[in-house]
Amino acid sequence: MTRGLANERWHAIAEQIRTADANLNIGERICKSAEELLGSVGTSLALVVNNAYSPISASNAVANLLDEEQFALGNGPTFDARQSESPVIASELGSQHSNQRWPAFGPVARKHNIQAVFAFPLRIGNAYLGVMTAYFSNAGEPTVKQYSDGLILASLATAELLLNQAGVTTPELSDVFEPGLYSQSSLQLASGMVAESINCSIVEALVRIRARAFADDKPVTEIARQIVANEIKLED
Amino acid sequence: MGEQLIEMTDATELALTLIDITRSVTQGAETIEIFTALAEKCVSLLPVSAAGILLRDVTGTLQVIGASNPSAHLLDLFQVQNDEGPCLECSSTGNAVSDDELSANGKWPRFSKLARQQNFNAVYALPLRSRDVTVGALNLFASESISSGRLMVAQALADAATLSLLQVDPKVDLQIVIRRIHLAVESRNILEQAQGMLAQRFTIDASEALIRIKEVSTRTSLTLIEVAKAVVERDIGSPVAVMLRVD
Repeated sequence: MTRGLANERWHAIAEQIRTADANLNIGERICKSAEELLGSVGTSLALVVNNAYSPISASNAVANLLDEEQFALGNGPTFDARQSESPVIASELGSQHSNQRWPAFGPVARKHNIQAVFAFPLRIGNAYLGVMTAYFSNAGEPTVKQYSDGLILASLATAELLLNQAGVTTPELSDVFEPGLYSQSSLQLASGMVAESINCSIVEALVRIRARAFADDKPVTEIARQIVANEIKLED
Repeated sequence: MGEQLIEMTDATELALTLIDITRSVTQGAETIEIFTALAEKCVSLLPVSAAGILLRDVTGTLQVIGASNPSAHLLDLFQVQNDEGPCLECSSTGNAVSDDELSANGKWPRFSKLARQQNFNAVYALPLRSRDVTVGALNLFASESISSGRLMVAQALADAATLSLLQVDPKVDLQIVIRRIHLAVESRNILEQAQGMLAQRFTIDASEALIRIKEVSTRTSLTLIEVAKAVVERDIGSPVAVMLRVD
């Protein structure tokens, strides 16, 4: 018998973030947990709006600094994660391959003793919210566990960034802790319908749906269902 | 063996279908295209009325990746959302599951009721395996029970399609599988976002919007996702712009 992939790992990671230092906000807790789970020396979340990057949270100064260096240089794995719309692994920053791909960023990172970077885009379909970047002091390919934990943390961070953009700062943040919430069909359909009817981007449509759910004190999936069923319409 | 596996005329069809799937896998077709084609081939080749594909992503969530038609899509979604149905059991145990007398007193009463309403009396879930991991399930819906020989044909097609998730080097396999499923889910999200936009634009439902995307894909030889992306990004330079009134 072969067992399927399970969601125990997702729940374990969500629980670790939920019970982390209460003095930190959720974004900071995700970064801190990423540091522990991935073994990184620093992890950051950055928001990307219309190709402009802005830092949201970072587990330490090095992650924050190297994010800003990447934004300033316009070069690095974090940028490539956004461009390629998929995870980017820089497993050895001193290598020839790496020097060709990141000529500006590589030397700066190594000056701060960073030898590897894993960058995960934070996206819901065509809605690109930002990037989660993990910085490492040792070179090396990610293990399967690091890679899948990174994707799980990125899924949590995506929900957090959407809440952040919708201006929702409730302490419960149930969105972040609901597996697969933002990959539900009804939400994709609703975001497309809203984007079409008010002529905005999918990101903005998702943000509006999230904000409406908060205003109506309803689950985001219920608002999505109502939009798809033409029971409500989000206006300009 | 007692039962003739498949008629000769069907055998040619089957061979052609396997060649088709293998070719698209080796040519690096998108995961979502391969699995949507798998669902459609099951319906055209076997006595089943509908077929759907679910893959489990890294968060442990089962995701509907492709379906032959809206009723299969609906029944697959129902299982995921209500945590009940043959496909859940199949994708967590890795064993094939069959139920050819769907009843209200059976293992999944609510699912059975919904399936019978659509005139499906038999349902099968076959595991999608990548090396030693079950990554999802192929669901077949039929009006009457299907022979074990025909289920073997479906499993063979499913195995060929699942190869698309693998890489040559077994060391990096699981990571590649995880990455490809992750990207397939995001591609499907784009497809659904485009369906939402077209549904609003033309006052049609989501399944009708998908049919339009498929038509444009066929006419332009762009992939489903390329068409969907052009819609979502309002790419007025794209060949699909005029056909789908993108502006």
